[in-house]
Amino acid sequence: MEAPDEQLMLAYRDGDAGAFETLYARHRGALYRFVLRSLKDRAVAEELFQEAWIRVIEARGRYAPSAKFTTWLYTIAHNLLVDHWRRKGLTLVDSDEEPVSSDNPASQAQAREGLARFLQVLESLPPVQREAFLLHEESGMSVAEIAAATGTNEEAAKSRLRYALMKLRSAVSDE
Amino acid sequence: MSEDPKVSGRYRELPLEEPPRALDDAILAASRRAVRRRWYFPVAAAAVIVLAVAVAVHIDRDQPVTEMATEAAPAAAPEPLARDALEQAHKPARQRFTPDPRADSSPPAAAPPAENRTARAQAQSAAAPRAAERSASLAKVAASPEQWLQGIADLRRQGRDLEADRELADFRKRYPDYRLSDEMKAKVERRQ
Repeated sequence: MEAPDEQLMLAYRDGDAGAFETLYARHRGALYRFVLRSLKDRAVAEELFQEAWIRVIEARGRYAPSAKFTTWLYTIAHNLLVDHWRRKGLTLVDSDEEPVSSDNPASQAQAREGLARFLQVLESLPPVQREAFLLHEESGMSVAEIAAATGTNEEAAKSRLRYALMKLRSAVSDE
Repeated sequence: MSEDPKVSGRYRELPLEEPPRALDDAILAASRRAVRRRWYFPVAAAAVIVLAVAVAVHIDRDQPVTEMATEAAPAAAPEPLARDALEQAHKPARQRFTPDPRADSSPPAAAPPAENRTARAQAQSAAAPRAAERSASLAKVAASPEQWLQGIADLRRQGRDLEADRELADFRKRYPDYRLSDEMKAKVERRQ
């Protein structure tokens, strides 16, 4: 039976480098995709992905398993994303706006393809909705966990996820 | 919350992006470094101490303990000399290594540079107790009184008077009734 994340993190805190490698291997892909698809800029995404793990490493001495490891990990990533958006002059607000359609003709042509259209809708979701959807899909978080990781209440998290799913469903059913 | 298998299924069809290998390596290396750092400082401190001792021993072996103490010491007083050497080692460095005023008046080439003098003096201070240990080991390796005397004569011939004096004093303590021939006396005793 595989050791739970929290146990691995405690082992790493106590000096077991191998425990971190297991933990990293378990979550690297999902966290990477979460950050990459939240940002669309690969270079920035890689920087933030690395920074998230570095913060895990640096905070190991203070780690106490009061919450799920994934909630902690994605909270770190969420905070980094918020900092990034703030630096770019963007704010995270709840929004039920329609997806912003791309002005790029090539992108619109691609959008005719089912998967490309789905990706386009995903990328055009308001950041908080996209984030809720990605947390749900990539890390399998429940609404309560999404709320905890993004520092909001469950109602807001549930609403964000519902709107995201509604828009993405339209992209699937349009085919 | 209602799940949507079609949305989820479509999301799973997207390329399974993974972090580049170099990024993995950088993060894992950082994680290993962080764990090593826990042990780094105590181990590094121990390594520095070992290195310092090794360097001191090396310098001591390269530079025989001769001139400095011999110059200042009274001629035939081996035991006080050994004690002096030990006391020297426990005095503060500033008192121990007051430069010889004669060195200042000597031509520059004859006097070692100040840094060298200090280094030598420091090495000598650390070495003083070890010189005594070395003398004791000469007695141990000598199978007979004659061999021991021969060793002392060798020290005298090499100009290592301080050690020869100490050895001779030890020898006389160990063999108080041993009569030295005039020839041997000439070899092992310090010339006045």
